[in-house]
Amino acid sequence: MPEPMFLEKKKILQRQDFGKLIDALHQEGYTIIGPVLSETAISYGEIQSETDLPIGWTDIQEAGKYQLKRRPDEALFGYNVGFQSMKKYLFPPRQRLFTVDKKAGRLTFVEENPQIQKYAFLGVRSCDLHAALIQDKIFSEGSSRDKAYVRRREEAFVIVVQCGQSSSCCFCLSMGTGPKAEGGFDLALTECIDRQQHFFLIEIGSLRGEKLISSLPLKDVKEEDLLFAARVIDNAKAQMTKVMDTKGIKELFYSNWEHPRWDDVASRCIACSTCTLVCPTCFCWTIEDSISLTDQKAERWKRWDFCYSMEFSHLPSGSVRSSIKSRYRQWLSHKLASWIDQFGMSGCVGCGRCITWCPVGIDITEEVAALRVQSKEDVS
Amino acid sequence: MKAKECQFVAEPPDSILLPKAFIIEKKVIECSRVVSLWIAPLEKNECAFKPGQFLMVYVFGVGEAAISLAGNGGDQGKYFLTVRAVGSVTRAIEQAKEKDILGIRGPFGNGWPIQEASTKDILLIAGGIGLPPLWSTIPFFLQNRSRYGRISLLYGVRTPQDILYKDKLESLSKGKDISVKIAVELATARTWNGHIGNVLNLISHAQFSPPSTIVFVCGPEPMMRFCAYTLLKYGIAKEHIYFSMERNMRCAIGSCGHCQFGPLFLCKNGPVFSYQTIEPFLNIAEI
Repeated sequence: MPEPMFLEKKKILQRQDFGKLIDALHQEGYTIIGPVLSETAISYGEIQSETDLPIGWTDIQEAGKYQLKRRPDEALFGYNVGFQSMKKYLFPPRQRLFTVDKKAGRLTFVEENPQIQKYAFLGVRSCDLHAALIQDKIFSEGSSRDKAYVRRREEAFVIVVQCGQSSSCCFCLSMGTGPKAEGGFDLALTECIDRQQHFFLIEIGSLRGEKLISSLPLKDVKEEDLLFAARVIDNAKAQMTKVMDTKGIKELFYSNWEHPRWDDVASRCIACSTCTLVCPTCFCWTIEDSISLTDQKAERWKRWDFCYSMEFSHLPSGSVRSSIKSRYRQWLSHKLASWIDQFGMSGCVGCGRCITWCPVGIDITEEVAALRVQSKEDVS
Repeated sequence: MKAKECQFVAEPPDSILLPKAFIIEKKVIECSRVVSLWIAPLEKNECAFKPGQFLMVYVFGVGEAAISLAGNGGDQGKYFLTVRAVGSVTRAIEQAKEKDILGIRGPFGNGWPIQEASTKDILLIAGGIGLPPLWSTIPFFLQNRSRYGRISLLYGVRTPQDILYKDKLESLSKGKDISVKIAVELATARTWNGHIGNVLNLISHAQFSPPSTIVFVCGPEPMMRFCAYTLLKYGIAKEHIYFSMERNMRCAIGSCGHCQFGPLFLCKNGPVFSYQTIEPFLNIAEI
């Protein structure tokens, strides 16, 4: 997590020197995680060199559709969010919490002391940076503070790439989370590419970030570079067509628990949990206890859990949420409404992943718009 | 029923997700599928708790379940739990023997607002296995009896065989400190010589002054809801009616998301809530 810095600094890094940024991160001992081509999508993986980046690729996203496509240029970051985010690394899907040894009827509990990997995240989008700030509220504060998460987050070096385009599923403008990240990063890059030039405008967000790039061959920023970078962001804004009306959204949900739209969406939702998997803020987890064959050793694991399963709300009398309608409603009302009561902010960053990756193409912005029709109370 | 020094507020342990080893010092069978346990920590520390809090009880290799504290059984160094065998973990607890070791986390949760009960008439309304979480309050009331107005324990069960803590209830009802009334739903005059019917019917037999009465209710959710409707008719304010709520609990620290009830995390914000707080969500099916 970058320490705050008050002096705004900007520099220019030429495309041919980009590899030196990766070298500098490696020299500082970081494992670099960034966008990589993974079969038919852009995923997150380890970056050894710049050639691991999906250079010259882009993607087309629609509700229930994702398709890779070649770009006419050789941009390094010319694509939208893939299905993964930093979440997988900061809040690993499976973590052992402890082991228990049973000897002569006695139990000894040994807490797991996880090795904390020093990650540098390269190519983080503004929406995903906001998602990490949201998960910080859950895992860094109060009774639910997770020591390992806090340490991973403190170690993490965050290099944002400002968005130069939007997919048809993006709606960060509605959520106030993008497309430009204004802070909370160590470095932010804006990729500027046309026929004549290819460079990165670097915004320095922390002392750590400033130190890292001190050995790179940087140039001072000229007025025209800033104008170019501003056009890049403007392009992302101009391409963003999807909108979610968030006005009075908590009250909208709280007064429409029985809106007919819940039955409608339940007839389409297959409760597969994909939206929770790709969501960069979904934080629910469960406990898995297991025992060795010899009955002498047991383990407890923490793993991601999904509010779409029947088991999630299990009670001796049965599942509280036995219908898909109630489980979809739980997910969406938590994300967009009760999250605000719980954490003082929305649980949605408008990244659009739940729309793109939903196998039946449910679009949460459409669902919200439909709730506003025949809403029990006019909250507009 | 004399508790020694009762402690409020337990310090959370360093590793809130790591159980501590407790030994089952005593186990009794209360009735069919219900057992009571007195458990003590292997490493010496006090078993402080607030009435209405719960523990996470781990059975080696089987799993963990949230169990309400029924008190400390009159011994500051122990916890007293009453468990109904309804799932894999609680069945394993039912099968456990004296001297067996359990893993314990907690206590967790906010507990009953005992302080708020001062000078008021008190109604404790329990349904079935909802009695133990209310039972944990009784030593606190008895210890400072003069602070409170009239206290009634209204307890509803299915059949006469389901009555928990029979001996304790009998000795409590002999004293003048707390009025004890039991309603049995499935009984005849031959099998039960007390009230027959629903626990709600007992409210009319209890003595209390509605404007200065506080009510603690624990039982099945529909029973609690109907309790509230009845109590409201008597003119008891919504903010003076408290429910102890139940949902699936895994972490007990407000992190895992399972116990959400609207915006509330039952484990962290509850499990005790005023009717005022939870009313907006209580009547929404499958929330």
